[in-house]
Amino acid sequence: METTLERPEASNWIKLNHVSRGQKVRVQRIEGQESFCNRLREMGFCELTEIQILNNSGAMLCQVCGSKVCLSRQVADAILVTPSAS
Amino acid sequence: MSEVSAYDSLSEGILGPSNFALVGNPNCGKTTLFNALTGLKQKVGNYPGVTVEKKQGECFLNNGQKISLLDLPGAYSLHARSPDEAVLRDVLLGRRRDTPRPEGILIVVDATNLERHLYLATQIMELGIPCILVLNMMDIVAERQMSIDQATLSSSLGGLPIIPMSAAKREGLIELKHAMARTDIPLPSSGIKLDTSIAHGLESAWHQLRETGLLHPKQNLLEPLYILSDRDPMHSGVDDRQWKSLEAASKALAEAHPGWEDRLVAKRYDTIHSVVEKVVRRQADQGPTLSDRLDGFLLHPVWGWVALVAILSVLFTLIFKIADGPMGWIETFFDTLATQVTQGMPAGDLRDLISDGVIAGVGGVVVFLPQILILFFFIGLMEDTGYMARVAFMMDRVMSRVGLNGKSFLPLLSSHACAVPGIMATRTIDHPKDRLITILVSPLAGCSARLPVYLLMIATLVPTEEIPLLTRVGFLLAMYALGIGGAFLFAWIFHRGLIKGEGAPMILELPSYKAPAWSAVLWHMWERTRLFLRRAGTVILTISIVLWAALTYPRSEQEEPAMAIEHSLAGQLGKWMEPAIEPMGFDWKIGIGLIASFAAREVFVSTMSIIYSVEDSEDLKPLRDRLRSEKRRDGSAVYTPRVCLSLMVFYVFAMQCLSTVAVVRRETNGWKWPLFQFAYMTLTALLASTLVYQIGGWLGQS
Repeated sequence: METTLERPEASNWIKLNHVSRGQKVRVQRIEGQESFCNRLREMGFCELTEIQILNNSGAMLCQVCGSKVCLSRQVADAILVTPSAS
Repeated sequence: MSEVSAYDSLSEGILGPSNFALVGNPNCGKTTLFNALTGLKQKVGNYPGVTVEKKQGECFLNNGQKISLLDLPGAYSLHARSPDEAVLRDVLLGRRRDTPRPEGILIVVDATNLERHLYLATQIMELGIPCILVLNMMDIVAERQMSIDQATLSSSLGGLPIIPMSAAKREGLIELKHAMARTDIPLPSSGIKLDTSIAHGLESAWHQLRETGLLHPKQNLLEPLYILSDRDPMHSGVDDRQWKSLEAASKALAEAHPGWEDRLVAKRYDTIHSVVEKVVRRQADQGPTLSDRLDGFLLHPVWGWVALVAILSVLFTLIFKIADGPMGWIETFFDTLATQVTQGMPAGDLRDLISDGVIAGVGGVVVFLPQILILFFFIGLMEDTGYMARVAFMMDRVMSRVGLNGKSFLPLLSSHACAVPGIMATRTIDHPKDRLITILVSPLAGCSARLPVYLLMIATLVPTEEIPLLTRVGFLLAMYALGIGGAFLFAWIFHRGLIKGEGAPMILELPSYKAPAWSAVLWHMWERTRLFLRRAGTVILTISIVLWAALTYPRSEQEEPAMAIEHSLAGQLGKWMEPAIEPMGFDWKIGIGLIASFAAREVFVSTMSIIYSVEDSEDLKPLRDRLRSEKRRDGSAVYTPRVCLSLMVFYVFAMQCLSTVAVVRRETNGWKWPLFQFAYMTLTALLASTLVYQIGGWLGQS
């Protein structure tokens, strides 16, 4: 799936925090310490993975890799995404 | 992977592995399976040096062979981020001296969500230990009309035996036991193919690590450097020589292939995706599941909060309502026991020691058992059904303002009933720093033992005969608010400066809702309570005896209990410290009360009854009237409103609770933190009540 996708310009990336409820987005980059980034990747937030925001009334609730994962706002702040095509 | 040996040396024996470890993500049904296999015949203890529960049990296979089972903590990855995950990794790598490396592993996965659960599973398959893959929750797979091609799944993972089952319904247990008895469980392979260049780089790293003995010959970990690079002296068996070679290999690989680790994570997921795509057939979109619909309501920006408040209100009402009866019975029981001793034994110090020291002291702690049991029951219920994770989700934004996260909410809330179960509930917080801060501030929440003191003081303070309900509630709410405010303030201070290390913003999976497994909930409740009684009980008993002695010796000739107490060590201490507590408006009699209630706050009321020679009874009025008429040497009243307020504020902040000290010592593995906690809370209490009294004076209050 990686080869078919064109990565949008970095200037269009937005923070996951600013994505509204119900939207689907694609992870572009994770910022922060290596171990923190890798833990997010291990939880399914790999670069170019598609995730959906289910709820943002408390922390951020994302549908990722077949399950619901909630992230603190500080975590969501470190994830850069682009709106997904669909 | 290059090394896929079909047989392990074990297969040459007549019997298969004699011990198995259960491994899986949180919420995969691992503990349910463990309970089903062992039939609750388990030993629950602690791994030495860390507060991680160690659960061991035994089961008999179909051939009569006895197998020992180890339920390892749930984890998402071998790359450890919390003490729980570090224990899992170290046990599996054979790096803990207290726990032998398991001979076989049951990898438990949620069959409805293989994409996520296979991540840890494939890491485990690289450990060089025979594994059985348990596809749990197959009943839900059938319900959702999904299908899993087990033959293809097995062959893409190196011929790994796969057992479909439903642990909650006890389906597939026989087949699983049959597979565990096999003598020829093959070594699995995660089947992940690396880019040639990285594979080459890794090959030399493996070689170095095997040579130093850091990597078992059969281990083919894809992220060896990453997984092994934790050098915590508590649990890592890495020596200096090994560390050097680890660092060298790490550096070489990082230079040749920058960012190789994240590519491996992605590679792992890619491989898992393609396997899952091959083996899992799903029905076309079935619409939202029951869990989704429940979340739509329970996590709703408005209704979610309404539901949360409603659930918690019911919980607290129940704690106080249900616990009321049994607490009364326990009190009566200990009273009767003390009376029996008093009547049955010849008068003397031994009799007093047993009736006033031991029975009263232990009774004072055991009286909270009903509350503790009920609270643990509800916490277990909320955890087991999946609602607990939702509470953390909802509360995260509030808690993160003071540097904590959503998982700290429930322990803090529980502490309003009693700090002991609250502090024990902090085990659900995976990050050590967040957990420690939560433990340190939890006793500031207004627990039920403070109520008797507050009620007595409010009764004395308000001049009317009957206190209007609103006034009473208002005062109580103010005290609770002060406690919560203090907890948040200190959490913020500790987070900011005092405790080193980084906080961990929350990354939390929300499991699907499920009906609770009652036996597991009850078991959990009992285990926690037993631990509290055994560990805390001994410390409490000791200090109860010491306190009793302080209130009794040296003996005086006085018959009157009030005079005897004045003459005792505690009485002298009270007089001696009178100048110190004067700025708070307290006299030496209150000082005795403070010393006596050092072990448990509610003792203040009964001590005051003794000092003022008032019959100790349910009704506060006689004592209240006595307090109101108490005069200082100069003839002014002792219990002025500002003294009452000052005393209440003192009890808001002071850590007058031995059970809490004992439990904090237990949960933090030492005396450092309980002593620190005692010091900071007591100092705050002294300061705060001095402020109240002095400011009250400036404002012209008498």
